[in-house]
Amino acid sequence: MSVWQRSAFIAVVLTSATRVEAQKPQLMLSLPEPAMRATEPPLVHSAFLITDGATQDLLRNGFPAHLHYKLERWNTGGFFDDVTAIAEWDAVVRYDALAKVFQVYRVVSGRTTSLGGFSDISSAEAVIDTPFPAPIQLPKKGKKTYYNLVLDVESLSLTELDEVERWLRGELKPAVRGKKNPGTAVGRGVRTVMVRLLGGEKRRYEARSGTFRP
Amino acid sequence: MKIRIAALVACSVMTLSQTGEAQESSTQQDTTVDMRSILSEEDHGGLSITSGKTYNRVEGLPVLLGPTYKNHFGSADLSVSAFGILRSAEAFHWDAENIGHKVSAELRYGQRHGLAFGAESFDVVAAIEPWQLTEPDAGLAAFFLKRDYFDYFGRHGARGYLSAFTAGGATLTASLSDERWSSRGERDVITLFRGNDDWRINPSIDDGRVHVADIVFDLDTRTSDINPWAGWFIKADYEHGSGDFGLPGFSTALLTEHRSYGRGFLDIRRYNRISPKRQINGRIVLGGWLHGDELPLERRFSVGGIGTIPGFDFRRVGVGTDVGQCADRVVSNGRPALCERVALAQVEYRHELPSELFDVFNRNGIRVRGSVFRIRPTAVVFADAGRGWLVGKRVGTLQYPSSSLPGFDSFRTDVGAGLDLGLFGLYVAKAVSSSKEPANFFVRIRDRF
Repeated sequence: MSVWQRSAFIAVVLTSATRVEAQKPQLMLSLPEPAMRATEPPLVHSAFLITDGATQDLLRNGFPAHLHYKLERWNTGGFFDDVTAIAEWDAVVRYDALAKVFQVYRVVSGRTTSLGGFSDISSAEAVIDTPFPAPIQLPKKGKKTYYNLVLDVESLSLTELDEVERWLRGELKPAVRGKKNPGTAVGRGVRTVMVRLLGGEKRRYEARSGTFRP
Repeated sequence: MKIRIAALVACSVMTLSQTGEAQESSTQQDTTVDMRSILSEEDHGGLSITSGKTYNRVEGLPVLLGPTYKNHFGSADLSVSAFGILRSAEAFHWDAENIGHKVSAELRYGQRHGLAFGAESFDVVAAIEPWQLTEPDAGLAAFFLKRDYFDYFGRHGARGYLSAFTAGGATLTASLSDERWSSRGERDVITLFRGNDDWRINPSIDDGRVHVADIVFDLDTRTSDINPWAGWFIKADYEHGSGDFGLPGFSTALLTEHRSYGRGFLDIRRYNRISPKRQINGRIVLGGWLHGDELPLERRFSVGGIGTIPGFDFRRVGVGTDVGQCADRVVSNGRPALCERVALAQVEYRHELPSELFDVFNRNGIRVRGSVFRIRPTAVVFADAGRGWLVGKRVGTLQYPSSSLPGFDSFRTDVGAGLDLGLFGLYVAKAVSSSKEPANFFVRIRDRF
């Protein structure tokens, strides 16, 4: 292998590694400027939450993606930290097969807001990822505080029956027809059971702010 | 389901026609779609199939299949389900031990607080001490390693209940049931490894027909039910059972003994966050005979093993007084739990570690069947102490009068440490009260408690 070929190979590897890194699902929490922390909420932003293969596939097959956000405000200072405020909200993305658009909704305190319909999933992802001021009660001045954010992403209505249907359609049927290894199909079925036992039908992301005193 | 989606699509089409082109930039209040409908409340059910989330040496994998229905009527929620159960033991052989059912109906008034009442009919296999271990841990140990950390018995009967619940996570439930309890044997159940080994015998229980009155108080203020950072978890249960039990070696129908007993159980857990990355958690479990006749075998207790005091092997009877299972004479088949009372205390310190070391795994996550798991390393240090005992006239260090407690020097104690990676945890525990016990290594899927 020549020097140029090696360089090209390394460049390709580095580029693909960078691309993989860039497409990693991310959840972030950013605090306002120090002077504004008692008057402005933190911003929640994210990247690549619904564009991974499995979620995208499920969305196109009619399973809406449900994103449940839970933000906690913690006070520190005593022996134990205390949760002093909690805010929860949801976002839902679903594919309208008739109009061929991805529709995005946000639900805060029981009020539903349509964030729009988009012909490609990247645009829907962009709206989900846009920094959003968290609807949480703000901390009092002088209290040592930090925020903890948990996001659960799951496909709505994806029951075991749906999983079995997907397995039959995607793995077992080709195996029965001789187009796939039956052992592999059964093995994947076993893995499906394992994933269910491990609670893998839900993806969980967590982000935490630094400790601050507003 | 199809009707629901069609209605939503229709609503959406109307929305689009009213607003022209898809709105890519502006946001607006949507008045045509009630989001709660998408978030499951309008899902009226259908045909469901579920694994039962367990795997064990008596059933294998129980598969529940049947219709479900749920709906709201004003402020009331109705849910009805009728599952048939087919168990994978003996290659799904169609026999009386492999089939069962679970039919239930519940009416629930109120959203944040209110009342619920319901009834159920069941023919199921139940674990004898479910408080010891979470189900994914037990199921996966059985499936992979042919190690089953529960004992099981058959429950066939019906139950009615009334409960009150509050927004703070408290629930008080009173129930009455009429059940037939029966011994179940271990069966031919497939495992991934150690296929040629035998299963531990599933011990015989006191077979009989019993009426059970139960009052249970639950409080759960944890920040999360899987990896809680703070909050209380309390379960307090008083059970009064009365029924006819068969004498050992005789059929229930021929010779029975009437027994009436009172049993209490208390599980208190407190989770405390002491900084953004550190926490101290504690747990106390007390359970046992309160009044009346002896407890039947299926309502007794034990400690020892990965779910309680992992420095001691599960169900291993060592030299001296057996304060783990309370076997006073000959060790019974399957080494069943025989203690009439038990006390257990657990404490652990958890410290979340930087995850950069594991970024090579986390870049894309660990993928199994499209599900992504990420590694979040946490160092864990723990200590446990506990024992079981019999109730009666004082006999050595095994049996104590009902009004007294064993001395702390007779408790089994251990210390240990581990690395919880989020997906699973690797731990080592060493017995302190018995220095000759070798250290035990073990894996847990969920937090220890």
